Amino acid sequence: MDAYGRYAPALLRKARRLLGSPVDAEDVVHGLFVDLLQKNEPPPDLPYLYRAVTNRCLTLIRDRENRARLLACHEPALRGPVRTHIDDRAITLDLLARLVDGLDPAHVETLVYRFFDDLSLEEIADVMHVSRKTVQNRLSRVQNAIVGLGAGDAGGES
Amino acid sequence: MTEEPRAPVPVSWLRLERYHLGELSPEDAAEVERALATDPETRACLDEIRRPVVLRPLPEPPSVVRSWRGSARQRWAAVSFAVAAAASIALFVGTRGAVDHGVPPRSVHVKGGDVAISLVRERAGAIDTAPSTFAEGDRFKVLITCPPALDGGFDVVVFQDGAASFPFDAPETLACGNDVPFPGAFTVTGADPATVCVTWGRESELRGAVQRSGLAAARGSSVCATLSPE
Repeated sequence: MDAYGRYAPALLRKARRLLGSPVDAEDVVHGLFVDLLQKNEPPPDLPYLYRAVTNRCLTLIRDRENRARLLACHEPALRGPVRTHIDDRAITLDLLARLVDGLDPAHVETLVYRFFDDLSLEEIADVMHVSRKTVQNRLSRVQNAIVGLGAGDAGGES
Repeated sequence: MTEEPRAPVPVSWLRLERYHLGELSPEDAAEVERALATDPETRACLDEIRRPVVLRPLPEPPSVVRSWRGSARQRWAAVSFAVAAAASIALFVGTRGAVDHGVPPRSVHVKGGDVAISLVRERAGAIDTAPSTFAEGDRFKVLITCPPALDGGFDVVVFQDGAASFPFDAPETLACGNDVPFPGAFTVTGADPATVCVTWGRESELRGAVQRSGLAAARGSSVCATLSPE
């Protein structure tokens, strides 16, 4: 599958940034392409695959056992430079793990694109097929949820 | 609480990835280039994107994949080795033996796990970890995934234009693991598709059987990847 050679490296980097685990990242990306291979569908484009990998990573994080394992062994260096912040603080895996149970999936997905992938509001709107205003509203809701968690203590790296 | 993207607004990872793949419009690409020219963080991100990645092989459809949990460090080492091996290239020119037309899959199940082949291509300094084609000047490295219980030797054989050839001097004994590099690198020439196979078994018997009977002699003990000429 040519799409695998072309897009899997980008997806691996994305999954590593989010999960902090190279092995889990590889499992997520490989699993996605195996599923695509078995469906025998036309190769999707990178934004579509980015979204698919995001949702698979979030499914992993939502599972309590996997979440605990990832938090225990994740490699912060895999995150790379953190370029988008809230109040000059990064959204870490620890904070994300605390948010996934309290926010609906669309809000968490939006959060990942903004703070882990550095997507602009327009890019998020394109990837998620929603309006820019919807993205803005979701990010406001995310910010409120972080305030509710007392994010000042959870923000971690900057 | 306010969200504070640091100035200038960062070029997203997705945009940088698409820039790297040549998927952006000229206008968008120019915008990325302006950011690269002025922002060291953006340049650092692109440097990260340009670092080679070795991919776990995909199964041949419709087989079901097994999960490989290998060391990422080992796979990075394999790519570094592929680049370093450029100085000792075996030119694939020999022609011996008959070809069997049934091409084995990229991965097979054996006692103790699976065996899989993957290729790494170096072309003018660029590494492709899942090549499907070859052209003049390309250099290829073979990576083998195999279970530790698999004893014996491994060999690389290339089938092309109705003939079999061995790009390396002799079979090798390898310590099995994920994406273990076969020592050395080779080139492929010619106008016909080439099938690159890894065979395994007792070293003393590996080549003779394949030379005599092609891949039929290595049924169940070979995995192959096909390359098409450009």
